[in-house]
Amino acid sequence: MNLFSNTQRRSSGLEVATLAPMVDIFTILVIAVLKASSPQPPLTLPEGTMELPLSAQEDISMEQLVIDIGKDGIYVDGFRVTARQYWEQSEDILITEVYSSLQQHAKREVKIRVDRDVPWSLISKALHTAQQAGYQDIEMLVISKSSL
Amino acid sequence: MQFPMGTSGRPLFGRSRESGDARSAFFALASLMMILLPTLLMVTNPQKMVAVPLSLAKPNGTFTPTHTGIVEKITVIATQKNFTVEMHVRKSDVLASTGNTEIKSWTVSDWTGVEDRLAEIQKVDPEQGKVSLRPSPTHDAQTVIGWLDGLQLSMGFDSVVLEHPE
Repeated sequence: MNLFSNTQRRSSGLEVATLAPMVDIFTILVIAVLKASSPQPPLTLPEGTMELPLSAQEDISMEQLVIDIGKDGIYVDGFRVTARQYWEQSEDILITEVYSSLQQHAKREVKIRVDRDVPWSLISKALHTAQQAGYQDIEMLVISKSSL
Repeated sequence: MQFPMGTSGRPLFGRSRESGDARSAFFALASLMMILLPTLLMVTNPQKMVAVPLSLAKPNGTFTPTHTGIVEKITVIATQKNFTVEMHVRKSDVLASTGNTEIKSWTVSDWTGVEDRLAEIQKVDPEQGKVSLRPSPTHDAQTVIGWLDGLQLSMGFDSVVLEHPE
């Protein structure tokens, strides 16, 4: 009579039944990572404390000429051109420093990245400035809600 | 192929070739996944950046209706306290032509009310896919992006034109 037959079977190593859930979990994790991640290079913002708004949109953007409005300043293509506070309080709707910088680049498409706390009055001025500088295709870059 | 049998009727070699093959296949798959997952985490960017296309109204520009339906223009005006939904609807006169409209407006207290009102306007003219949005100067970027998502993804408007605050 074999009293320890079950014990021998258990100690024989990993069985298919124990591997199958692990493979399932890994497959789900790989799909989740593929869906939630992006093939683009890591996000670099001109200010460390800047936080982009979240959106449910799914169109992945390509890198173009970028206007950044951070907590402290306004940047064109990564270079600071003026202070945010001044233009937030100003009555003018054309940001002259941004306008001249955009005209130097002479492109048709521009992306705008803003901190999520920036008031609409300042965003509107930046968009109007880009329009006046001859940029027709303007998009706002945001972080997808499906990000990890 | 016949396996030798023991005295209790069980096969001496408990593992058949089929189950051994399945186990090695699962091992290979598990190993592949264990390599693939950290590799993906290393080479991809966890913050997915997406682009929201902005359609901007020109300041002091004139409105030219391109839609031939009964509702020629829809405008949502946000203030600090409430929202105003304006509908430019063509007059019921048989001689009324494009641009000959009357304005109906509703004031609602929250964004849910705006969506409900827009849903009713969509029932009047389902072909109208354009809406103008005028946030107040003090609304922040996250709030406006949330409204854009609501209009484009939830309500199904093709074109959301952002107007400059007055």
